[in-house]
Amino acid sequence: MDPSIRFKAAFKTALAMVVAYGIALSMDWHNPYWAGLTVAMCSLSGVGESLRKGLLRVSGTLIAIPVTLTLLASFPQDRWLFMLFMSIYIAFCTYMMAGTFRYYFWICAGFSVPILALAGGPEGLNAFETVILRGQETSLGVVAYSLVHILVWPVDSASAFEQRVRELAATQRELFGRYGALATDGSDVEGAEALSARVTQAAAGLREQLDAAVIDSYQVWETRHAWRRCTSGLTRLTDALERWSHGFEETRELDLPHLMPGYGTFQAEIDRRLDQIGRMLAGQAPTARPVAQEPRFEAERLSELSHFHRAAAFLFRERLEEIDQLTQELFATVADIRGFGPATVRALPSTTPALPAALDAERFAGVARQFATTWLALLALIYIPDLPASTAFICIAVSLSMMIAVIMPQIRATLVLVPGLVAVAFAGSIHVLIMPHLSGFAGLSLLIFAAVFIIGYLFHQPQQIVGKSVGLAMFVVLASIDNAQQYSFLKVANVALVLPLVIMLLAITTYFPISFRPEDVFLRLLRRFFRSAAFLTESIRWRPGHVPTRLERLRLAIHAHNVATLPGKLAVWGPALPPAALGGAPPGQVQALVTSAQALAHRVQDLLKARDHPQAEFLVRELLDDMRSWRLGIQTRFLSIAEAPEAAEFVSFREKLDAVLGRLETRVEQTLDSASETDVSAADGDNMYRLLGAYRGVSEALVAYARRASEIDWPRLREARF
Amino acid sequence: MHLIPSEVDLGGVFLPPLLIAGLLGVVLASLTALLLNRFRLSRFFAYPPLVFLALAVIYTVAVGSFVVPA
Repeated sequence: MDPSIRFKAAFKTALAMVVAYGIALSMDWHNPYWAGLTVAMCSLSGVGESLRKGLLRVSGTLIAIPVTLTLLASFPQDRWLFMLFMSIYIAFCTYMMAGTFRYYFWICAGFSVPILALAGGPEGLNAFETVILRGQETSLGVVAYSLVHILVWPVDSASAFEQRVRELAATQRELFGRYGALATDGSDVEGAEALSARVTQAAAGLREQLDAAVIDSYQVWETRHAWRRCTSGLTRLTDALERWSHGFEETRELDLPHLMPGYGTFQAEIDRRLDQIGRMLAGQAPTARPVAQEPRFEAERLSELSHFHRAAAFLFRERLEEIDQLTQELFATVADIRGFGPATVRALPSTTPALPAALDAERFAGVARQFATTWLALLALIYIPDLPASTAFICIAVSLSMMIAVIMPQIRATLVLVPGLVAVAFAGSIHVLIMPHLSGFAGLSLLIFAAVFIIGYLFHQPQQIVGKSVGLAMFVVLASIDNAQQYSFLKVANVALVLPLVIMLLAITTYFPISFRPEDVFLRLLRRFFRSAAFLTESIRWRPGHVPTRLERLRLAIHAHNVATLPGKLAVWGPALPPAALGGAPPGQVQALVTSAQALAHRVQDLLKARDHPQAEFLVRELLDDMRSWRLGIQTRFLSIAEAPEAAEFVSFREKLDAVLGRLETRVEQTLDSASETDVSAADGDNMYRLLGAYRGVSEALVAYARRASEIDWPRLREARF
Repeated sequence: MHLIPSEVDLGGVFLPPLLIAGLLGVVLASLTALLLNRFRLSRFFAYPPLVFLALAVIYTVAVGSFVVPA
C-alpha cells in the first residue's frame, strides 16, 4: 500500500478520536469512551464505508435502547427472567446477522443490550439516562469521524466501487476468452483456475462497497437500483462461466469449430460486448450494440455424433445461450447507468428464495453456540464470587461470541488471546505509566492522537482490521478517559484476566453443545451436502400427474439451498483443517475436493433444470427402466458417500459409469431407431438430449469427486484429536 | 519447601497462588495435548476436550500442591 495512504488513514482516525473525546469531555458526558469506541470501530478508509458502518452502528444502538428499557422495566426484580429474555433477544440478533450482509446492524443491536443494562448500575435508577447517553455518544463518534473524513483528505468510496466493478468486468472478459480456448484445446487449465480465483476475489464484498458508494455519492444513489442489478448480473455471469467450464471435459472430445460453425463469431461477439461494457463503465460511449447470437449446430456433423456426445453438445449450447442472455442484460444495465441507452432494463429475477436460507441448519448451529456462550458467561457472573470486571466480561463475551458464531466460525478462539493481551499491555502501560503525568487536554489529546495513530499505522492492511479494532477498543476502554479521571492498575489487571476467561468460554462452546472443530464441521457439511444431493436426485423420479404438496416443495427448496450453498461453506472450512488432520497432505488437495464438490453441485442443479422440460411419452416408456436404474445408482452412491466419504472409489465409479454409458448408448440408439416422427418431435429430442447430458454430467462430476476424495486420508480426518 | 499458601509477588503486584497454579496447569495440559497430537496418541481417547479439562485440573492440583501452594 502507498505509505501516504497509510499515513492519511491513521491520521484521520487519530484526529477523529481526539475530536470525539474533546467534545464529549467539554460537554461533561460520562463514559466518553463510548464516543471513542464508535470511532475505533467504524473509522474505515473511505467516507462512504465509514458512514455506512456508523449508520449501522447508530441504527443498531437505537433498536437496543427501547429493548433494554423494556427488559429492565419488565423484570426489575427477577434476574433469571431478565437474563432469559435478554439471551433470547441476543440469540435472535445473532440469527438475523447470518441472513444479511448488513450484519453490523444486528451485532450492535445485540451486544448493546447487556452494555446498556449493566452500565446503568444494579439499581436501574440511571437506566434511562445511561441509554440516552450511549445513543448520544455513539452519534457523536459517527459525526466526528464523518466530518474528519469529509474535510481531511477525503477518499471517494464511489470511485473505489466503480474501479472495482471495472476490474471485475475486465477479469470476466479475460476469463471468458481463456475458457473459450479451454473448451476446445484443454491447455492452460491452471491459468484459467488462477483467473477464476481472481474473479471470485474481485466479486467479494461488492455489495458492501455499493452500499458505501450509495451513501457517499448522489449519482450512485440515483442509479442504485441499476447498480444492484449490475452487481447481481456480474455475479450471475461468473456463475454461468463456471458452469460452462464444468462441461469442458465432455465437449473437448467434439470438433467444436466444425460442429458449431458460428462458435468463433459467438466468442468474438461476447468478447466485444464485454469490452463495450468495460468502455461504458469507464465513461465512454459504446461503439457497438449487442448483436443477437444463436449458436447453431451443423446438422450433418451433429448426426454423426454418438448420443452422449450430442447430449454434451446440447448442454454446451445451453450454457452459451445463458452467457449470451446475461451479457445482453448486463450491457443494457450498464448503458442505463451511464445514460447511453433507454432506461428499460428489466430486473434480474432473484435466485435465492428466503425461506430455505432462514431454515439453514448452520445458521441455527451458530445461534446455539452464541446462546451457550452467553449463558456460560451469565452463570459465571452469578456463581463465581468476585468475578473481575464483570460488566466487561459479559460485554466482551457477548460481542465476541456473536462475531465468532456468524462471521468467522472457522477461527480458533485462542487466536484472539495473544493480540488481545498485547493490546491490554499497550493500553495498560499508557493508562498506568503515562496518563498520570498529564495535566490538561492539550497533553491528553497529544497522547490520544499518538496512540491511535500508532495502532492505525501499524494495522493498516484490510486483513488486519481485527487487530486494529481490538487495539483501539482496548485503548479506549483501558485508558478510561473521563473528566473525573481515575488511574487504576486493578482495572488493567482485571481486563487482562477477563480476556482469557472469555476465550475459555469460547473454547468450551467450540465443542459444546455443537462441535465447531474444523474436522467435525467439514465432515458434517459434506454429509449434509450428499444427503441433499441424494434427496434432489430422488425428487426427479418420473411421477406423471403428481402435484407436490407445500411441505414437499419446502423440503425440495431446503435441499436445493443446501446443495447450492454448502460447497461455499466447505471452501471456508477447508483451509481451517489442521495439518495433523490431513496427515501431511498438501492443503491444495482439500481445495481440489471442494472445487469438485462445487462442480457436482452445479451438475445436480443442471439435472433439476433439465428435468423440468417435458419428455416425449414414447421415450419415457422405452427408457424409463434404464433411466431409473441410473438415477437409483447415483442416489445410492450419494447416500453411501454421505455415510462414509471413503465410499467414493474412483476406479469402481469410473468402470461402472463407462458400463452404464455403453449400455445406454445402445438402448437410446435402438429406441430412436424404432421411433416414428410422430412419437418424437425435434423439441422432444432436444429435451431428451438435455436430460441425458445432465445425467451424464452428474455422473462425470461424481467420478471426478471420487478421484479427489481418494486422495484424502478419511480415517485420519475423523480421528479424535485435541 | 514451604507448602503454606501465599500470594506471588510480581514487582509489587500480588497474584493469588491458585491463579498461578491454574495458568501453569493449563499451559502444561496444552503441552501434553500437543505431544499427544504429535504422536497420534489422542485418537485413543473417546472425547479429547474432556481429557484436556481433566489434565488441566490434575496439573493445577499437582502444581498447587507441590510447586506453588494454593
